[in-house]
Amino acid sequence: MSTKQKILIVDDELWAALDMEWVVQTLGHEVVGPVATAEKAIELAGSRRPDLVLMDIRLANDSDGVAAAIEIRERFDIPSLFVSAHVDPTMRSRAAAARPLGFIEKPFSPESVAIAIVAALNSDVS
Amino acid sequence: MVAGFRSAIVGHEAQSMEPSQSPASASAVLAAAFDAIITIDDRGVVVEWNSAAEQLFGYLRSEAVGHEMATLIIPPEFREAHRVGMMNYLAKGVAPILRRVVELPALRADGLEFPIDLFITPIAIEGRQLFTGFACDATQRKAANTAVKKNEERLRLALEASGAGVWSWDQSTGAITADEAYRAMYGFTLDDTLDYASWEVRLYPDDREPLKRQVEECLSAGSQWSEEFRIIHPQRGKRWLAGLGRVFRDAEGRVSGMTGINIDITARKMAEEAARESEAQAQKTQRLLMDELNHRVKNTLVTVQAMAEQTLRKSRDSAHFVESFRGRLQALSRAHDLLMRRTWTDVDLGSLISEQLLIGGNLPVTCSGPHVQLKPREAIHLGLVLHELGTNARKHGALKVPEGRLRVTWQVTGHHLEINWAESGGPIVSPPTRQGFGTLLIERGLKDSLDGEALITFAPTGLICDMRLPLPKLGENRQAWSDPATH
Repeated sequence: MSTKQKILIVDDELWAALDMEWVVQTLGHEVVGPVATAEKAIELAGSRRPDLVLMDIRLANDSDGVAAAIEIRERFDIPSLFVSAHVDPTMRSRAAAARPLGFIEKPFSPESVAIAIVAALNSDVS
Repeated sequence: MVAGFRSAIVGHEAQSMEPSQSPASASAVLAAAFDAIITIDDRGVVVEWNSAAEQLFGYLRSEAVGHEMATLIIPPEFREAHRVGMMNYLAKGVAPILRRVVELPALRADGLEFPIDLFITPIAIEGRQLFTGFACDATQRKAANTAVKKNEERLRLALEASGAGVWSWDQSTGAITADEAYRAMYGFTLDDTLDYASWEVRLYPDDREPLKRQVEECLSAGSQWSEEFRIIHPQRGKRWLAGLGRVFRDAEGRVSGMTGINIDITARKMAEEAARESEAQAQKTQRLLMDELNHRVKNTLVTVQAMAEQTLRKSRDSAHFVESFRGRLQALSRAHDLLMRRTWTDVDLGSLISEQLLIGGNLPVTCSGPHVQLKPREAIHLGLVLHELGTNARKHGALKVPEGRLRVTWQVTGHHLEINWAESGGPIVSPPTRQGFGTLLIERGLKDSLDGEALITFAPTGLICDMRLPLPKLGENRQAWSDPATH
């Protein structure tokens, strides 16, 4: 997939967001956001219609990345790639409702984020 | 008992009795008897003394017959009383201990005192009033009795101490006999008639069938059962009991019922349950803490790693990278330290500014504003922003020269915190031709991480930064603090 895609970054940590932004830009895609809360993520997903969301699970103001991803999937049919410090079976089963394209475990390397993004954009045929 | 002994031996009111045997055959029977048999006359003098008596008391027949019995076998301290009692009895005719077994102290030829069981019967032969006593050594029986009594006492004490209730069920009548403790345990009154059905009704529904099965298996196997189970006490509700039952048999060896005890173990069960719960709670808390710690460590690693990556990308050379990266890492570390000291609860904005600007020496910095508590997350992000501002002021701004001044003031407007950073007296400022990385971190830090905004003005007199961020609704935590802190 060589066309320029829009990728929404949802992370409440500036440095992590900067790192992901750099990866997205290096891959030749456009960054949407970043935003730090579920509310802003849903708002921006609606107005900017990104192709993919990089969704941190624990967000600012105690907002929940899984719930945001589910809503974004249901309302706009935009898939997410979850980013989290712990990926356990409970989290996976809760996240399944968002039909995510994958999980990136923290701490991540820029390479692992790049690989996950490329794989996600190629796998999502919807 | 001594008086009884005496009375019996001197018994006057003897029954008339015809001799049924010749003296010779009587002697043969007496000689063969297991019991010591002694006959005395109405003066207390021995007229008959069998071989068992010889064995028991240590006097030969020849040594005993014709002598006063009292001097032979009654311990000295009881003899006088014996004689007085005998005369008394002859006068008044009262014989309370005749024809029944009594236990009395006796004396042997070698001086040993020991207990005997004695049965005395009066005999009238040829107009003479005689008394025959059957005696046997009671030492063992008495010791055994004492032991049984002691055991019974011990058992009773143990039952009392454990609050045990004792029951016994007769299979043929179906009746249960139970003591007061048992009745109290189940909430039965002393007048309630108890049987298997009344017991069964009290059992906690979940425990009823398994327990009944156990009891029935025990009955058919002729064995015993022991179980912890629950009952419903009509007043006290659910109680835990420990029960124990054992079959008993009739003379033919057939199982004829069951007996056992119950002990209320509710207190123990509740203590166990409480211990289990608190243990589970402690484990849960620990797991939560470990999860949280794991989460924080990983997130911090993400930050540190991204800091390194992004700082490296913006660095001119390795020396520049090391300086910038170390500065940022230390800013992060100071924010963490502050949070750790506050056990990761709210942090005071004034302290955060002091920590991040390293206001310890004689830096020309003035801070003033109300007391504001920041959440851990806000504190970390704002700390990093303040570090970038401070680093810029040291390298390019007011803190680069001795005459420079920095004033940091803040106020709370509605649910927003407004911070004003104003430098003055430093080198003349001109707007940069392109946005530096530090400026980007300040603006993005406020916007992306804190959902706020930062406006940087490059005024010729010095850099001004107006920051605004939403505060969580704390209310009660925010007390006025107008005392300007000058450092």
